[in-house]
Amino acid sequence: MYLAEVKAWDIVKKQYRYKLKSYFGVFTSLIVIQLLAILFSFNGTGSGSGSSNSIQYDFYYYTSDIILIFMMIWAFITAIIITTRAYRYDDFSFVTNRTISQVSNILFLLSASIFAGITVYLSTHLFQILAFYFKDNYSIIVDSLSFTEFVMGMITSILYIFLFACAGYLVGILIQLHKGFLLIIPTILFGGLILDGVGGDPELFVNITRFFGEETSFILFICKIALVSSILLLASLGISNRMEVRK
Amino acid sequence: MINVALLFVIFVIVASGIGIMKSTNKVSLGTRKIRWILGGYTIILAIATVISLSVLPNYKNDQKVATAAEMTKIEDAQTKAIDNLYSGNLVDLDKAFSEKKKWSFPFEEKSLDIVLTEGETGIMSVFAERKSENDGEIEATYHVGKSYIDGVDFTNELDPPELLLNGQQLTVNNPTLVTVSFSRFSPGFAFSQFSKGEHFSQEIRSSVIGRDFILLKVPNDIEINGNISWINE
Repeated sequence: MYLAEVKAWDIVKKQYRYKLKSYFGVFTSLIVIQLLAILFSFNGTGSGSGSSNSIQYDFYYYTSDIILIFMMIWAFITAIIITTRAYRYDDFSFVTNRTISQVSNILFLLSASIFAGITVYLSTHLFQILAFYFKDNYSIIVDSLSFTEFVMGMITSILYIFLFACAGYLVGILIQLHKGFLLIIPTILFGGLILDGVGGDPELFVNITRFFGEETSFILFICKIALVSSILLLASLGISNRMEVRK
Repeated sequence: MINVALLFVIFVIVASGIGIMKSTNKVSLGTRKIRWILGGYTIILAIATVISLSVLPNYKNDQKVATAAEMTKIEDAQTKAIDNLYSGNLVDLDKAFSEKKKWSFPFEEKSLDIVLTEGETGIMSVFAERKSENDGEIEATYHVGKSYIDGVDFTNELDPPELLLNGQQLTVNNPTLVTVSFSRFSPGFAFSQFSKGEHFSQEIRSSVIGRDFILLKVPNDIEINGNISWINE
């Protein structure tokens, strides 16, 4: 029996609000990376050409693909950054434990992913309007979205970004557990990709991409992301609970 | 070149991230300044979205975009109809081809010389069939199959050939080469993954250029000289 009884969820909420203010700086990098992505998308995110007896054609695609991929990388790195010592020690300003700290971090990452997902859609309009006015467009075709497509697309973008954030979070926690992972993880990641591609028929990366990218059922896609994200986050929780309080 | 630049940027992003990770201090411009930057950026994005949503829909693509499977089906139907044409079967012709242009020439000569001029688009295929009567008229129809570029129907953009009758000589000038260039504004794979059956690897669809030919209907008793294919003869 204490004079002031503290509920875990209240602390999570307080920490989450604090982190939204304290980690605000990560959004400046979001803007910089999004502007870079717009710059790279400006020449078209895809193109094709061909000819036959009666027609010669070339076409250019202007899509949000590069912006979304850059945002995934941003989420991955941001998640690693918030596991670093400088950010982690802020949690000790509160009465807290590892789990509360992790939950508030996850909530922050989810919020950041939602913001990034929304700005992916908005920044696509920015670069498309720039491409519309500043590029020589012989003929223009605009693929419109229905409301359902818009909502599903927005959720999909957010989930892709969140998935990368979860992966980054696990990587960050592993690095905090032992600095050796700073070397081991890139070695396994890039070494695996190189070994996979040595035979000329890469399967690992392609299969991972297909697992999410070729899913045509929206519900199943959500389940897949939820399952993989949960595994990554539970692993992070499990590992971080084994760490010392101030390591 | 752009791929190298892209890799360089990704490298710089990752390197900066690692740099921050190794640092014991948080990188911050100050909350107030960041709020202004973020707020300003969001307002710019919102304005751009409003402009984009009010300007770009004027160029909206209302026609259905054909899938790779649909285009393959159309291409197969055209090939089958042409094969049938060689064996004198005109039944499925209307399903696979449309009549883009028709000509009618009064003709009282005994023989017709057909000259196919080779243009930048090659030589036109010409099929001929005899009418049951001698009505003193040559009828020509230009048939064209559907052409899709990246799933978009461009059949109407194609020009018909030119047919000139001079005495007993019919000259077929091939259509001029049409150049089509277009920019396509799409939302991206995340927005089309479930709605149109497009996946990571299928964003760019294939193209089908429709086959074309001229079908001549000639009076029963005239003789034809030239590089043509007879139907049922």
